[in-house]
Amino acid sequence: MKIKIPIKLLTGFVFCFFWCSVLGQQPVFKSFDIRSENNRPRILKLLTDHNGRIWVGTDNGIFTFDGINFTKIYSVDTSKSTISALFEDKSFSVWAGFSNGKIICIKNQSIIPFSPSEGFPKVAISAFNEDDAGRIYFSTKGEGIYYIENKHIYNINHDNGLSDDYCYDMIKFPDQRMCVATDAGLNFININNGKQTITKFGTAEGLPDDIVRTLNFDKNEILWIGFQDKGIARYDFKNNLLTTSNLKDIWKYGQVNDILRVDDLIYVATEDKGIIIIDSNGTLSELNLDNNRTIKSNNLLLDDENNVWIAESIHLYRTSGNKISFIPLVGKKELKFIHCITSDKQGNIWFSPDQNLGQISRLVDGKLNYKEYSILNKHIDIVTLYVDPYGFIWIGTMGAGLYRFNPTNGNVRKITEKTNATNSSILSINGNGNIVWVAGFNSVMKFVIKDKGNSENAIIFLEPAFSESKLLSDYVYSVFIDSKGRTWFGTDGSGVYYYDGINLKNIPVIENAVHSFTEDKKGRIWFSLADGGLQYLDNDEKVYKFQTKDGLSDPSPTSLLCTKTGNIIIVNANGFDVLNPETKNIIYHSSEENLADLNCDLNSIALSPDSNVWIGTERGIIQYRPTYEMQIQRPKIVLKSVSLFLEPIDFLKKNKFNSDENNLRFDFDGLWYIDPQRINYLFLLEGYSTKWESTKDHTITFPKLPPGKYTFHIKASLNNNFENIEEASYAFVIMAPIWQRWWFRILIAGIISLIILFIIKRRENRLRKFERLQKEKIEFQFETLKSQVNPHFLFNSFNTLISVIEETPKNAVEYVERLSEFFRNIITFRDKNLISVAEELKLLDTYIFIQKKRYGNNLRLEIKLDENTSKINCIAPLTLQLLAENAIKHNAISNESPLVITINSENSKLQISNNINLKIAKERSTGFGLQNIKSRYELLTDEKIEIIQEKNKFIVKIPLINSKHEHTDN
Amino acid sequence: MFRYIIFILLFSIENNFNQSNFYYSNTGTILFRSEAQQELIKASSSDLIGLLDIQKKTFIFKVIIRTFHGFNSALQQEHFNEKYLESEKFPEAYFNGKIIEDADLSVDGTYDLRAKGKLQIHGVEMERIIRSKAVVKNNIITLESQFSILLSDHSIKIPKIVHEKIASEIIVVIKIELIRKDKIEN
Repeated sequence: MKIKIPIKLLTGFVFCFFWCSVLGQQPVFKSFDIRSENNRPRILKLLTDHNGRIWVGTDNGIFTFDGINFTKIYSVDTSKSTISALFEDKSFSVWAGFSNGKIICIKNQSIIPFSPSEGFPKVAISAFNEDDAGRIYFSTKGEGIYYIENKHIYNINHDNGLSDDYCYDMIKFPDQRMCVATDAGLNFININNGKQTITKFGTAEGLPDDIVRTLNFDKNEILWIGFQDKGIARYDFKNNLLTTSNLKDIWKYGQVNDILRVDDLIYVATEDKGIIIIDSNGTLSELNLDNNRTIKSNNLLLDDENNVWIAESIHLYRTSGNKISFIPLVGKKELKFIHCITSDKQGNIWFSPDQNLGQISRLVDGKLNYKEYSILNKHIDIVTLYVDPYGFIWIGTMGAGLYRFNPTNGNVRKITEKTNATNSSILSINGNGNIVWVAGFNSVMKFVIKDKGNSENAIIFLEPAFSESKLLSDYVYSVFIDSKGRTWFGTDGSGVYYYDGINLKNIPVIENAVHSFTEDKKGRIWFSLADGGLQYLDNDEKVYKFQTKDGLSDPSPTSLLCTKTGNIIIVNANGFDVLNPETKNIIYHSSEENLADLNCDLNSIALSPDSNVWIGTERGIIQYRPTYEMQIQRPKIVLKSVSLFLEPIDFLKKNKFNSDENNLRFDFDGLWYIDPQRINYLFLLEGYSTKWESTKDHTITFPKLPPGKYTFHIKASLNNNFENIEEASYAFVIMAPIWQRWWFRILIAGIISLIILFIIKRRENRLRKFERLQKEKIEFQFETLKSQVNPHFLFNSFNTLISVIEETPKNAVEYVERLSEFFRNIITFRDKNLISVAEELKLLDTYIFIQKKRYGNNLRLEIKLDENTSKINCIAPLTLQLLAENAIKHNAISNESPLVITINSENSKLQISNNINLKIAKERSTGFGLQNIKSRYELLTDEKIEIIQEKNKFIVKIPLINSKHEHTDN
Repeated sequence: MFRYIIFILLFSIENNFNQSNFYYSNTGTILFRSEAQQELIKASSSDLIGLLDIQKKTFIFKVIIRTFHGFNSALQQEHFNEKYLESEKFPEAYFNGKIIEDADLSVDGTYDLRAKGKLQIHGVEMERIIRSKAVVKNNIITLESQFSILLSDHSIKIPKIVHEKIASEIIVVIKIELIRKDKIEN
C-alpha cells in the first residue's frame, strides 16, 4: 500500500515577518465580563452556533451571550473542573468537554445526558469534531482520541499508532481525515469500515515544532498551525504545501493558544503576550486592548458580523477585527482635530491635523508613515483638500483663500489669479480633468488649468462659472461631480443645483444647508442636509427623503460617500451609518464601538484607491474596510424558547396545548453583536391580535389565552423600520375545553337524547307491562273463579261432604269450614300480584285437606321449607294450588300409586315436584294453568319458570321473589 | 512512592546493564530566587535526585524540601518549611514526564530540550513544559535549566504583609550531572 505523505515541506522561507514595535492601527473594541454569583468566571472557550449565537465556556460553566447578557446554560464547580472544549455538531447539538474528562451534550438549551458505558476519560477533553459519517470524535490530554459510535466510545491511542497520547487539538480535513495535534507532531487518522489508518507528521518530516497546540482552517482551506515554541506555520491543503517561516526563530510570545485568520490579518492568541496580529506584509504587532497587558489569550472567534472575539482571563472582548481600525496616532504623532481628508492616486491619505497638512503613507513593510507640512500660517484652518490630476493638492482655507501644494517638494502657491479669493472662505473643492470648482461663502469659482499642470507655475484661469444663469445663494457648502459629468452644488438656502455645461438647474429643498453629496451605483444623487437627514434625486427626477424615522441615526450627517461595494457611508457626530441604497437596510457604527464624539466636519471622508474608506475625526482617523460589509444584514432573530407556565417546553415538537395550558412565554433574541442595544422587536400573536406591537424586551408573556389557533411572529430591527425583515414564528393551537369541542357536544347531545329515549321507552314498557299484568290478572281471576267454581270440583266436593256427613258428621263442619276458607282465600288473593310463600302454603294446605277427604292418604304433600324462607319470599298467588290441582287432575291416584307432591327450595327457587302416574283417560285440559303461571312470572321477574318433565317425575321450578323488592302495584 | 517509581523504572526493562539507558544522579543542585521589591531571598539544595531514561525519554527529578538551605535567616527557613511549603505535609517536590525533542542523547553533543510533565510542589501538580540544555559527553549528561514558578499555581499563599518581601514568581535554576548507570548500587 502506498503511503500518502500528508504534507511536503517547502524549502526556504516563503514569507518573512517583521516585528513592528509601533502600535498603529487598533480595532475598535469593547470588553465584557460575566458577573455570576459573586465571582467572575475565567473565559476559556468560545463558540458560535448555527444561529450565530455566541457560547462562552468558562471555569464556572457554560453561558450563551446575546451581546448584553450572559445566560447560564450549565454550571460547574470551579474547583473540580473547568470547560476545556466546545463544539456544535451537524444536528445542532453542542458538545462540551471538561478538564476532568466529563462530556455533556446540549440541545435546545437542555442538557442531554451522555454517559457511555465505558465511562469518561480520566483526563481533560481538548477538542471535538465530527466526520461525515456522523461520528463524534474527541481528543484528550493524555488518553489519545476517542470516537463515539452507537453510543459506545472507542479509543485510539499510542498503542494503536498515535505518536503521543497528549492531544491539544483536532480538526477535520476536507478529505475526511482527522488531524490531531499532539506532543509529538501531527497525526492523520482515517477510519474506513472500522479500519484505522494513522499517519504521523512531526519534526522529522519538516514540522518546525513537535508540540502542536492549535489547528485552524481558514476559508481558503489553509490550515494554520500553532506551536508551543515556534510560532505558527501554514499548510495549503489544496496544493499540499507546508510553509514555514522565520517566525520559528524570532517567536517570543510563548505558546500559541489559537489562530484566527480574517482576510489579510492573522490573529494569534498567545500564552505570554495576548493577541499578536500578523498582517499581509508579514508585520507583527501586539493588539493593545488594555494598557500594555501581557496576558494569556485563550481563544478567538469570528462571528457572523465579522467581529473578532477574544477570550482573555475574565474578559471577553468584542473587536471590530479589521473592518474598522482606529488610528489615534502614527509613530509618536497624535492625530487630532482633523477637519478634512482626501486620498491621492497612490493611496496616500492627506488630511489636516491641527491646522497643518499631514500625510499618511504606507511603507514597503506595511508600516504607516506620517509626514507633516507646515506650509501655511499656523492660525489658518484648512477646510477642504482636493488632489488634481497632476497630483497637486488644492487647499481651501477658512478666511485665507486657496492654495495649490506640490507634494514632491513641499512648495505651496497661493491662487490669486484675478480672484477675490485672497481672503475668502473655501468650503469645498472638486474637479474634473483640468476644471476645478471651488465653492465657499463667495459662491462658486471655476478654475481651468490651461497649461503646465504638473508644475508649480501652472497657468490657471478663472472662468465664468456658468454661461448665463447664476446661483441664487452665495453660500455654497459643497461641490460634487457625478458620473455623467454634471456638477452639483449644495447651497445654504436655495437648495441643490446641477450644471450640465449648458444649463443650471435648481432643485429646491426646504431645509437650509446642503452639506455633502454622493452618487450611488444606480446613478441616484444623495445629499445630506443640516437637520434634514438625507434626500436623494432618483432617476425619475423626483426627490425622496431618508430620515431618522426611516432608520438614519442622526438628522445632521456631515459627509457622504458611496463605497465600491455600493453602500453609502453616512458620517455623523457620533459615528457612521452604512446604508444599502437599494434595500434601505442600514447598520450603525457608533458609541457601542467606541466611536462617539467624533465631531466630524464636512469633507471628512475619503476613498483610497484600495477601496478603503478614511474618516477624519476629532479623535483620529478611522479606517473602514468595505470588503467586510458583505450585504448589510439585519439582526438575526432567533426564537430561543417557549415556556408554559414558566417551564420551557420543546417547542420544536409541541404545538398543541390543552385549554388549561394557556400561559405562554416567548423568549427571543435579536442577534446584533455590533450594537445589541439598538435592537427593537415587533411581535404579533396572530389569532389574538391583528396589530404588531413593539418592545425592547427579550421576552413576552401571554397569560390566559383563550382556546384558538395562534401564530407568534417576531421580528428584530436596528431601528423602527421593519420592512422586508425576516421573522421567526411559532404556530400553535390551544384546544378548546372538552365541553366546547364539537364532537363532545354532539356526543353529549346524543347521550342525552338516548337517555330520554330510554326513559320514555322504559316508561312505556312499564305501562304496557302494567296493563298486561292487569289484563292477565283479570283473566286469571276469571279463569280461577271459573275453574274453582267448576261444577266438577263443586260436585266432587259436595259428594265428599255427603260422605263425610254420613260417616263422621263431626268432621263435616270442619270440612265445610275449610272449603269456605279455601274459597275465601282465593277471593282474597286473586287481586294480589304477590303473596308470601307461607300464605300460599296455607291455601295449598286447605286445598290438599279438601282433596285428601277424597283420596285419603294416597295424596301426600311434603313441604321441606324452613319457616324463614316461606316468610321472606313471595310468589304469585295460587301458583302452588294450581300446580297441585294439575297434578291431581292429570295423575291417577290410588293405593298402589299414591301421588306425592314435594315442595322444597333450591337456589332461591321453589321446586314443586310430583311423581307421574298418568291417568289412562286424559282429562280435558285447557292448558291454561301452566301458561298463566309462566306469563305472570314473566311480568314479575326476569327469572323464568322451569318446567322439567322427567321419566316419572314432574318438576316445576318457580323463582322466589324476595319480599323486600316486592312490587306493590296495586 | 518515589523509590517505588525508580524501582519500577530500573527493572521494567531487561537487565542489560552494559548498554543501560539510565542516567542517574543524586547530587544535583537546585537553587531558587525570589526577587521581591524589598528583599532578595535565595536558597539552594545539593540533593537534587534525577533519573533519565534516554531510550524512553522519560525522567524524574526530585528534591526533599527540607534540604534547602542558605536563607537570609534561620527564621526565614523555618517559615519556608512550615508556613509556605508545609514540608511536613508535602516533604518533596518532583517533576516527572517525558522529553519532547527527538534527540539521541547517547551521542555526544549539546541539545536544547523541552521536558514536559507534571511538576508537583506543595502537593499541587501542574502540567509544565520546561526547557533545558543538555550536554552529553563521555556517558555523562549535564542538564541545566532555569524556569519560573508562580506561587499561585501551587496554592502557596503569601500573607499580604510580606507581599513586598516575597515575589509572586520564583525563579528556579537547576544543574545536574547524570551518570550512566551500568550497575545498580544499593
